[in-house]
Amino acid sequence: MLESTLSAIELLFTVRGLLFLGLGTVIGLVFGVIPGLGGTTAIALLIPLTFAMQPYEAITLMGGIMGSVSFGGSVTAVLLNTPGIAPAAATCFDGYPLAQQGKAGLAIGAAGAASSVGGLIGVVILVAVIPLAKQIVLLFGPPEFFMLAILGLSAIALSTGGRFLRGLIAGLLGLLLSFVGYDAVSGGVRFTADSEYLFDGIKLVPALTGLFAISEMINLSVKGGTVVTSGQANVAITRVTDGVRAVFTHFGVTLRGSVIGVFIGAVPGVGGTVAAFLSYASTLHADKDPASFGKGNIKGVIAPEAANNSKDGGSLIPTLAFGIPGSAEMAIFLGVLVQHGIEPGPMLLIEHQGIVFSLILALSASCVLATVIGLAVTRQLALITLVDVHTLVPAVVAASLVGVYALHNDVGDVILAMAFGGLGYFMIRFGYPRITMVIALVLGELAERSFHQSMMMSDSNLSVFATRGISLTLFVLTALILVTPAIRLLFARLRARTAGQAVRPVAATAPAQRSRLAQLVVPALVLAAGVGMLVWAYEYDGRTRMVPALTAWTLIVLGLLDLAAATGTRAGDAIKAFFTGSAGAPDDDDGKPQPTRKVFAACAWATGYLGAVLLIGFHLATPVYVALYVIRHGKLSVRRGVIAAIATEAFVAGTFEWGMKFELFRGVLFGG
Amino acid sequence: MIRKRVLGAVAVATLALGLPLPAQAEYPEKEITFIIPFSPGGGMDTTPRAIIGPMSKYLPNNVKVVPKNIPGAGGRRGYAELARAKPDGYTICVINFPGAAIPSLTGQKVTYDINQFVWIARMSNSAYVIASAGKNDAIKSFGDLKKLGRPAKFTHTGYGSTAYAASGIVREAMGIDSVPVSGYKSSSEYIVGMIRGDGDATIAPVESFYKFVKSGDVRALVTFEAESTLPDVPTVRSLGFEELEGLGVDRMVAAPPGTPDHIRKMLSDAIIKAMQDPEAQAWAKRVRRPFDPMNTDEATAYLNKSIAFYTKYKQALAKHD
Repeated sequence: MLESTLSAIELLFTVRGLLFLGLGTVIGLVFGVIPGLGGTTAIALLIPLTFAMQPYEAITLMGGIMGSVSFGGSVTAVLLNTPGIAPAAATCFDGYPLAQQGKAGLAIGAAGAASSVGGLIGVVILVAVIPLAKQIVLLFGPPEFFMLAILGLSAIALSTGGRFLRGLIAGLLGLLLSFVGYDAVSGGVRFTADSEYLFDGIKLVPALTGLFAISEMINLSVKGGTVVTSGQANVAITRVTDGVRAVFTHFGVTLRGSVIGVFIGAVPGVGGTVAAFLSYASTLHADKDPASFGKGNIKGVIAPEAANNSKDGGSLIPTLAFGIPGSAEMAIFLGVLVQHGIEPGPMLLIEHQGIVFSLILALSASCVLATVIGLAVTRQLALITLVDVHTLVPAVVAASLVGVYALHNDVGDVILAMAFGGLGYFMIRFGYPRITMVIALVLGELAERSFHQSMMMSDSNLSVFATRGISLTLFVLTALILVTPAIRLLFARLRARTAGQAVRPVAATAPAQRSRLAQLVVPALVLAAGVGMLVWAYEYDGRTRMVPALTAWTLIVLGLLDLAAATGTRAGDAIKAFFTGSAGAPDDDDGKPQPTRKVFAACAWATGYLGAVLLIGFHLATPVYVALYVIRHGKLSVRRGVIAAIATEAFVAGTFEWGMKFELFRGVLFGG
Repeated sequence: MIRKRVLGAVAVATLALGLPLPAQAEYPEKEITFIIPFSPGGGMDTTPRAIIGPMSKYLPNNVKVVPKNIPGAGGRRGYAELARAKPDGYTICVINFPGAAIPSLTGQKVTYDINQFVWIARMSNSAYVIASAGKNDAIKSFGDLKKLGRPAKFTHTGYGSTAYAASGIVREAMGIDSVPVSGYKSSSEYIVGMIRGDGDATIAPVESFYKFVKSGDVRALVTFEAESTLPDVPTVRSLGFEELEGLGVDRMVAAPPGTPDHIRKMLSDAIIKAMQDPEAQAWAKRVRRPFDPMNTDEATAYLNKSIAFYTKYKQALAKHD
């Protein structure tokens, strides 16, 4: 073991080793920063190029990418309220308010240090459990996965603060969306309307890019101005070192986040988004002052960042034990190993120890290297918050749609991302938290699949969830999570009553400026969607129908409650008060009015770009769209429009066509 | 139309005279697209990638062969693209058999007709193995699967997959009654599920088992190979089921419906030579995925036989709970 560690270190510290590590780290940072692009895309596109490399070089490159991508993603989250990669979404909650207060440096410093430390803790835990990896993986079967999914869903739903009811509704909608497509358990194909594209279901990367990035770009496009809202723009970039220090003064938060990250990372198919949110939620609930979260609490940045990077260590556990990928990146990475004649699985640790340690070493080194590189350019990056958003919006929209296309080489994904962008924008405006929908999209399939698998393996005996120790423990934990806030609220009320004053709900819902009728429209639409899905679900039978129908029924019940709550009657207010839970993640919406004309214009520009891409392809549509948007919609100078257009197209063409030899969509007019 | 017919007449005439036809002599003049209907990294991706480099050496004008991953819908997206492509020899595709045949055999709607594809070659064949968990003392041999007193639980990806189809054929032809525990993402996942005890046994291509048999986690019960590559494992032939020998997954290469004969033969020759090329051979040795080449004529005959075989077991492929 020592010998292979030493030789791995020796290999890394050669010129070529460091070159590939540095290259991987930079690629990871860039792909992390730009929404729509991520580690999975980077690794998938680079795979064919790695076939020509030595195994150690390929692995160092991949490790470099995996270790650095998450920090890149959080930089965008802090600066633009748009996660560069989905797992960084939790970083937005407190990172963006800090940036708005002119403390972007503090937030990025903390994010960087938390990523490094979290990544290293993840690797340490991995190395510690390697001898037991096999036993650990075998302890978690379908009943445990089911309970884990339920635990995750409950924890996130509760963390939506004052919008608990709409949080649940968004979650149920997310679940229904996650059931679309081929269901491997029953072999049925659901909710696809015979579309071949939907056979694989709602793909996560395009959906999340739409929900997080495109929607926020539409929002920014309507708002205009710059990110920093406080008058003191000059303090925007300071205090990076304070941020780094905060990670160590709040080391308990860092450690808890890292442990959660490793644990969630080890569950196949769950990944960083859930890890980061669970870490955020648990930190918030454990804190003495939960109400301070969402307003720029540095702990709200540290917790998700630590979890997000430590999950790589965790996702290696099932990979090393049995060759099962713990994450999407790892799944593609296994392909690289096979191509180099290294079979991932139980023999990997015995036959190829050197490879394993090279990967672990590259992962840890790149965690630190990414932070060092990142923090060195933070000052320049943070200047983005002072730039007019109309320069940023078209560039981000274009780059993220290109990224979405590149992952599966499918123009359908681009359309899906845009559709989810519109959905996400309206969810922001009408107070439906996007995050519960996202978590449901991620966990819905796992929950349904492992439930049916548990039933099949136990001859349909529900006791399978109670007779297995870990499953039972997770069940009890879920129950505790669900009950604790209610008890806490009850105590607060009792205390308040003895003190003789009423407890004010934590957050007020639904912006007040809309007319009563307008407030009823959206809940009615949601209810209609629930009824529609229910009717549709009854076209299927048995296992194919069971979970979707149950979900649709629940949605209808909660949708009715939401509709009643929006009527403004006494009963409605009572429902509202009942579902106003404890403190949680902040509202996505700032509550300021947005004129319909501007909303329409923002959506029209985005849709126009999509149409142009479909017709004439990325390379013609992108510069034209960026230039026109900056000049016409942003009312900025022609010079700035042309520069933005050239820069965006240079990045797109340079990265994909030239750097990765990947042909982007040419448009239907040109035979695409 | 008339123009085409005239050209056809000219072509026949020139062929009859034994003269080279200008249009034919020119093929191939531009790069050939090799569709891979799966994501990068798996066996369906790496096998064609291993031969595309050497393949261009054996084509006239040394035209490049470019891989294009079109993943989605279990390969259907890529197969549909092949079915739509012009039969001009510039588009070929790797096909998972019987994966591509199962949807239409089980009555699902697909936008391609596998019977219309022009078969260029076979690259490799992975025969199935039925296995149980190494620690499972109740199932130590193939015969033990019948002695459980209940249907055996087989873990696999799900209805419509090749492993599900195989378990149906095993039920029908070998008399092993089974119920599914399905929904796993890949063969490694369902094999680990079986090791964990989610089910009693599983069926998967032999390559997926090497590492698990070596580590002792899995006990192979019977192999569908002609000669076992696993130690001390009986073949289906030795158990009296010779009809099932070779049951497994084939990696085929196909061209669009209507591809002319001379193009079909030219591509077939190039692929066969590419598989024998030292570069491809070195790859096959390294990743332990040996080629099992068949040229276009052998592959066509083999596929017709195989489709007939699966059609015969059509009932067995149906859903079974």
